[in-house]
Amino acid sequence: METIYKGAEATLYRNTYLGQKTIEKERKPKKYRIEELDKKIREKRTISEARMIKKARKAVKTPYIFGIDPEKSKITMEEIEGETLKKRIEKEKEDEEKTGKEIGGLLKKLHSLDIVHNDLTTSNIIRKDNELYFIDFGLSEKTSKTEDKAMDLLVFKKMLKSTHWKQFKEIWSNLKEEYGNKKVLNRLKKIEKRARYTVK
Amino acid sequence: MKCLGIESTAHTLGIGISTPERVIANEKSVYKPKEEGKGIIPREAAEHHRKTKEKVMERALKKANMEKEEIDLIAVANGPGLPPCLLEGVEFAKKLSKELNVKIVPVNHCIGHIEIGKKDTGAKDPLVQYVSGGNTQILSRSEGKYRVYGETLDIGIGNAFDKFARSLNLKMPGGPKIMKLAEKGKKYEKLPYTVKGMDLSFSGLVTEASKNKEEMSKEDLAYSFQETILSMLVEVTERAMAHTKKKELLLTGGVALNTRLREMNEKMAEEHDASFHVPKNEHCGDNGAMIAYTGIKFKEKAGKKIDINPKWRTNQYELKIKKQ
Repeated sequence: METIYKGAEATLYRNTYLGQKTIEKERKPKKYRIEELDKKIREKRTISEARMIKKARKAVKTPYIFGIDPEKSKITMEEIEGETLKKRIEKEKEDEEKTGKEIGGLLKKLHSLDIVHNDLTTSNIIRKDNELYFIDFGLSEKTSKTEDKAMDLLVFKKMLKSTHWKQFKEIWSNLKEEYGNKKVLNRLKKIEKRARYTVK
Repeated sequence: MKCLGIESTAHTLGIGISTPERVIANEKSVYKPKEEGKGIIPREAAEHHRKTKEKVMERALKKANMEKEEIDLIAVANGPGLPPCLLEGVEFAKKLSKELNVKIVPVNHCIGHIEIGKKDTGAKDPLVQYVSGGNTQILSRSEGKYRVYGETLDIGIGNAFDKFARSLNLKMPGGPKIMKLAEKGKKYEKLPYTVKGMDLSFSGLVTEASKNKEEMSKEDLAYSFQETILSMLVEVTERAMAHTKKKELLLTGGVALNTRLREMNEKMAEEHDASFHVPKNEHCGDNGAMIAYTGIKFKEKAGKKIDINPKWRTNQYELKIKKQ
């Protein structure tokens, strides 16, 4: 098995399953966390990720799940053979207006199913055959709360701002426009206004 | 060149003196709420700063073995912070500037913490975990500014410790007391664990932990609280580490004194082949030395006019660093 990525949360291996190229995503123990807490977090996220990947598929493209092993905190899924949006934006292979609208539309659909991703970054979106796939649903939740949906947008917005500051404005304004849900967007404004420096 | 730095953004009135090479004085006086167990009352804190500033400055000058007239530059932390407290520092800076006919450099309080940390540890381009009473941010430098990768979405981590400590009837500051209690705890009880991308939220955890659970000892509760909150913090830092691929991690701010947090960060950094750094203890909490030192670094920003900037974000500070 070939290790293809070692991230903060998990290690990804490439394998095959019934002739299909697969990714095995394994959440390794974290030495900095005490064992009881660490095990709970890894198990919970593994189970929840597989479940949310399936649920989200009604709104966005996500990889197929072939198997799950909670004990080892491992999920076997389809490999999406494409390129992350992060790399594509850095290489200027993305049209900012189009991409912003595309993500906005997908988030609108996802949120209308009462699903939030909670960790959306341009590294967690892959373009393959001109379509966008969302991955990494470890922190994803079922929720109908406006606050949670606004927070989901905020996480992505802040990531865009810090990582792709040159493209930020164009992508974000188009994303917002296409997303369209006024209630959520107004809540987002409110969250951003909440004073964080009132007490030190 | 000798720069006098003034810190008055919250509880601490700090006066430090620095040369480009080293800190030569770092004195302070810390405000304590009149009513025990209560949080900061901005006007009371400002009054404390007003009454103690001259004395603290005298002590700093004595430590540095110099006269007031030898000061070449004034630096003041004019934000972010509590407006009444900031005003005291800024007014003091203006008065000294007029009296001594020297310029004033505005210093962003958070940048002060980072710069002194880099000086103390030799870290060049670190991922920064800045943790204090009201601030919890994961930052790193990119194209002339500190970018915020992750931060708290509600209260600062120090305040979270304090709020929880209050529910156990512990006196302020609560952080060190919780840490002590946690060392004796053994049994881990599950508590809300909230991370969103690289951001954090503490209020759910604080509320749940503060519902005094009768079946749990104070020690176990403190242990569970501390393990949960610090794991959340280190987890988002790890995400930023993987994302930015930085090879240094700098922990700074008042909560950097927490030894369990140091231990966790060290383990995490090791897994990413990164080095781990913490400033000297006296430079972790709010202090004047960091403002003085940072003032020299950014001396080209000096002028005669200055105003407070209570909600100043770290990523709004231009880092036009010129060779000294």
